[in-house]
Amino acid sequence: MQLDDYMAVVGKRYVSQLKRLAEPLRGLRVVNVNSTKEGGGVAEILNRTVPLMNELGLDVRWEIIEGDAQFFRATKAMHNSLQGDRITISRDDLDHYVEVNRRHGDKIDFDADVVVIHDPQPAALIENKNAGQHWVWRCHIDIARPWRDTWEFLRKYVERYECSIFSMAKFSQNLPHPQYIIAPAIDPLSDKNRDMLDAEAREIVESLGVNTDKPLIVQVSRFDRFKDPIGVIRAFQIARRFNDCTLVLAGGGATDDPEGEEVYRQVLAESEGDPDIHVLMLPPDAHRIINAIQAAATIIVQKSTKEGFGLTVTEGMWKGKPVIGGAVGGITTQIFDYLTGFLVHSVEGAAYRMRYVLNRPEMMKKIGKNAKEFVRTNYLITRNVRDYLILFHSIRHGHVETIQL
Amino acid sequence: MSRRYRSDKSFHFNEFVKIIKPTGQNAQSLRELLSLIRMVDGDVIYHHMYRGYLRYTPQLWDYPNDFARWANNGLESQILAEGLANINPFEQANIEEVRKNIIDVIEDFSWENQYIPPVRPGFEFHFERSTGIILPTNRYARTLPQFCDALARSGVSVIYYHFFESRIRLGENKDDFSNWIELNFDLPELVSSIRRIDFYLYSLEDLRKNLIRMIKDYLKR
Repeated sequence: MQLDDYMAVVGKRYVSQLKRLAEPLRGLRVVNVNSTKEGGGVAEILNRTVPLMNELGLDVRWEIIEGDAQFFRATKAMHNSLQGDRITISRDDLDHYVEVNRRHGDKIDFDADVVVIHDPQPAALIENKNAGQHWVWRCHIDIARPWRDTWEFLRKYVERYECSIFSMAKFSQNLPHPQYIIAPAIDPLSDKNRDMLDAEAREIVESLGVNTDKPLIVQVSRFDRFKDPIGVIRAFQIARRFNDCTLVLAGGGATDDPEGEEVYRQVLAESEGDPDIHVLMLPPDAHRIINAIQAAATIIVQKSTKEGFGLTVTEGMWKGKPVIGGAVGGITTQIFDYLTGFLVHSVEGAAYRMRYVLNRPEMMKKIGKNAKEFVRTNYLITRNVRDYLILFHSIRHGHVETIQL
Repeated sequence: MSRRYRSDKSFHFNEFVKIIKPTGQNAQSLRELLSLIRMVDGDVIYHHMYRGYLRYTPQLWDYPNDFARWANNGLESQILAEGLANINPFEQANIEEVRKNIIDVIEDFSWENQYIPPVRPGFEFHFERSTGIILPTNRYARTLPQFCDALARSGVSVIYYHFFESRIRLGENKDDFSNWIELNFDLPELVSSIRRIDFYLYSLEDLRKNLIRMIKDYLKR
């Protein structure tokens, strides 16, 4: 995929702006470091962003920090506790984390102008910073309410970076350096988000045993209690009393997550014997199927009770669908009542908005159109590239308020 | 071609892009908001009162600054939102004057209303500043028809830069567009009409349409 391929999606003007922004940065050497080349949102974003930046004339590399089971046990615990779980990580695991980072410090080639370290796993690599280099910590996770022991441990590394990047203002921290916001983004040309013909979407959805004759209400989400799939079923049951419709709950398999298994079983029990409710457990690479389910949907729901940014909301909006979302986390920055969807606070609220939208096809169309345009302007991978270019300029100019190019 | 139609000095269009920088401070109540408004640096107030214009949301253009929007959405107090919306930062001499106006409105509201609504969960006010980049485009105009054509083809950040940011840059509450027309064409009525636009109440897209319509109307005369 090349930059010009995105012209059809974001327009010539936007691509021209990216080229003009990148021109003064031509030859800037940037190294990204994260902990995986495949799987997960960070790898997905880097997979697209790195080639696009190279095409724009920057010299961007992507390195990986590899670890053993003990390292990933420590970083998984770190990840969960930064997201608010009260977990104490053993001294031994923390020492191992530092040691793995130290070993990679010797292996990775950090010869670059800017080093961007993604997430906590490689954060301790800051020990390798050389004079004159700019080191940036990019935090992709929800760190609004970190468990203090873990944050205290990590903070002593983070503070040594020149600046940090968070996905939303609410995740920002009290740090002694400049902080930036770079919102998450989706790739409009990926299998999950590319345009799909109505007939193709219907064919795929019907192959899953779902009848597409009736309006389709869809929630695509992990089987996680914070995504409230049971609440979605109850809201659907209320809405169905007034409108003939079908519900699809589609989620990824979380076989290593005992709580996810339990929620999945509860969802199956709650929907058992109801021919209008389809519960689909999908493999992690079912991108085309997810695209089809969202594209065939009449309404997309994300009735979360706790949420980071909520990229499934972004994906639903990108498909031009009205989205009904829980008024939590990043969903509140994407959904504006009556304009791009509806924020709800309860099962009854979700049911009411399902009925409201189902009975107003014209409004459904208008909201879907607004939602798509909102994502086009704010949450596509091209905006992610643009934000990094602005960040690099800001770093070069000492983080000042205004820069004249 | 007479001075009325062609300028010796061309108008060059600049875009403006920004990245947001949170300060890490947030307010979970009106009291906290007020206390932080007193403390934060001037560039933070500047970002929330001026640079909020450069946003891409499909929201109806109810409230023109971040504090008023938050009073409406986060606090669900239309009275406070209306008060804050009426502060026109472009009429103040400097950012400290703007800050004082905001504080006065909030203090008046707090004094007059014994019940201060709590903030909706998830709608805390996050203080931010921003880094903006002035980015030259290859668009320029020597005549007013060329000007309208270039304006119509530009992104809305061009309007932000030449119509809003210019007022701070030039320091006279003037915009680049009317300045260029004043210096290069004999059209005082048009200049005066552009300067009379109650721009504070328009979205950037609305302003673009208004400006083009206004200039085209003059050209037809």
